Amino acid sequence: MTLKNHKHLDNNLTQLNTNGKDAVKIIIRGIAFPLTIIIIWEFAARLGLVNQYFLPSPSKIFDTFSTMFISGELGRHLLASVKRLIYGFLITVIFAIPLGILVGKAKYFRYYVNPTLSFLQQIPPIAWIPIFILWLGIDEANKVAVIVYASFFPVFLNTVQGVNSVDPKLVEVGRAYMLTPMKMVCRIYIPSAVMSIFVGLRLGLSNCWRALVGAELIAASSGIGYLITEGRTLSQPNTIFVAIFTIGIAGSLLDLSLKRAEKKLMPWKKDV
Amino acid sequence: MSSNVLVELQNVGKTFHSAWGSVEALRDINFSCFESEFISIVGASGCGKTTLLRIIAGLEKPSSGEAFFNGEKIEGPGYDRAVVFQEPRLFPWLTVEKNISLPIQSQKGSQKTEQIVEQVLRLVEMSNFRKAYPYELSGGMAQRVAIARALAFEPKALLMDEPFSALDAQTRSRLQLQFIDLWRKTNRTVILVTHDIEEALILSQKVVIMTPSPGTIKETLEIPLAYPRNKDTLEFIELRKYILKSIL
Ligand SMILES: Nc1ncnc2c1ncn2[C@@H]1O[C@H](COP(=O)(O)OP(=O)(O)OP(=O)(O)O)[C@@H](O)[C@H]1O
Ligand SMILES: [Mg+2]
Repeated sequence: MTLKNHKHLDNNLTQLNTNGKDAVKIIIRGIAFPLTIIIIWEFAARLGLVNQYFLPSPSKIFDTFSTMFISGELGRHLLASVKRLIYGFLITVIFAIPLGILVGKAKYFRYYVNPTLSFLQQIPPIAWIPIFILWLGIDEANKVAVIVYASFFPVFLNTVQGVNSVDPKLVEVGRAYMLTPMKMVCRIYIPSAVMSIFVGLRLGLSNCWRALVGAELIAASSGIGYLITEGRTLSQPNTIFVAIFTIGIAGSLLDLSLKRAEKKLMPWKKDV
Repeated sequence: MSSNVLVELQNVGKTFHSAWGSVEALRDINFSCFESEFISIVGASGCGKTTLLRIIAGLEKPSSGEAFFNGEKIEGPGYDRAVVFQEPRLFPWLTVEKNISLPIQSQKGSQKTEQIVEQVLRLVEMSNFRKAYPYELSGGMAQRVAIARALAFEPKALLMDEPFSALDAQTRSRLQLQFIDLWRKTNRTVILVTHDIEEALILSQKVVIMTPSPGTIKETLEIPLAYPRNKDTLEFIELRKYILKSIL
């Protein structure tokens, strides 16, 4: 279901790579809707149709954003979040991909692990936070653990799937043309698994980002999620909104950069 | 066995077993092909042409009987045979030229490989597309690249499964003529599966006619016509009529 949501966004974002005129058109189209909302919202706020305390006007939010941006406060929190994300995501990549390749190659292994995996997958990463805090302390480790938990399954499962879904007809071509086992792995198995692995990476990354913000809401003294907690305790709705927008924008940018990397790495892949 | 028999099948049978039952694809096939001979195999869809070719390629084991290549029992694929599959089967992540060079690079060295790739691409009229990825090619273009890949492999025998069927009439007859030229120059053995009787008559020295359920060889016909062949001669037309009748 998350994958589906993403597909739509992707189409908008990847088309930015096409030529200039189209890119402008696409950006305009993409921005038109939020811009309309913001304008209506601003008017509603100025005319006093909504309570400023519940819903501050966009211009007020932007003021807060500027102040926080210039003072470096926003940057500091964003950096804290992104650092955790990178640590956690790297750990996932280092473990989930090789493990996925191994499991994918061992035919019957999945019958033993699949039920367990689907059980673990049903548990939202945030539900583990109290336990992770108990085990790993209140510092960084528990948040990194949440990230690893959130991204491990999509990356691992898509790697397994990638290794399993190698087209047997292409493997047969390798056999008929006497390719060495080394060439079979490097030129057939790995390239055909790469597409699927990338799908996993992108899903994993967006899972990470959401889980991380959740973790920071519960237990952190820095980070974008913490900013929301702070805004709540200090009764500053402006701060909360700045944090929410930052989360959305940063998440989209993360996904876009992975999508770009994918394009660079796989020039053979047709745009969908 | 005569010394220059390259391919020899003795009483070969093949039965496939699947969940819903078993299919006898080939029964009691006796077939031989001499060195530098050009043989076509024709027959209705499902009569076992591809299966026969795959046994010679070493991709399928016969259920009964024995298959020999160059006097040795066929145990698997080899450097002496190259297959053009019924579908192009190019690697989507490699460009046209890399698809062709992948199997030969380590043996031939990069300079020789470069030469061969250029030559075979010219032959199939695909030189302009050497840097293209398979998704950028039409079906017929992809199939031509697959032909080029097999030619570049420089095998003793070319095993081709309907290689020209995805092409338009003009391109097809142009490539057929070029292919005849190439064959006469290189003296390579060719076994060609086709459902196009005219193609078989234009190209080959012998036509093997197969009938279905189970696949058997009904007749092997020598084509005594000189190259290049003319479709409008009486002999050609008579042969075509005859084969058409035997297939049905
Ligand atoms: N791997 C397989 N598993 C099961 N049955 C198979 C397999 N390959 C071929 N067959 C069966 O063997 C028979 C012959 O198939 P084959 O592909 O050799 O036919 P063909 O003469 O090449 O047909 P076409 O002209 O349509 O390509 C068919 O009945 C098919 O169902
Ligand atoms: Mg066939």
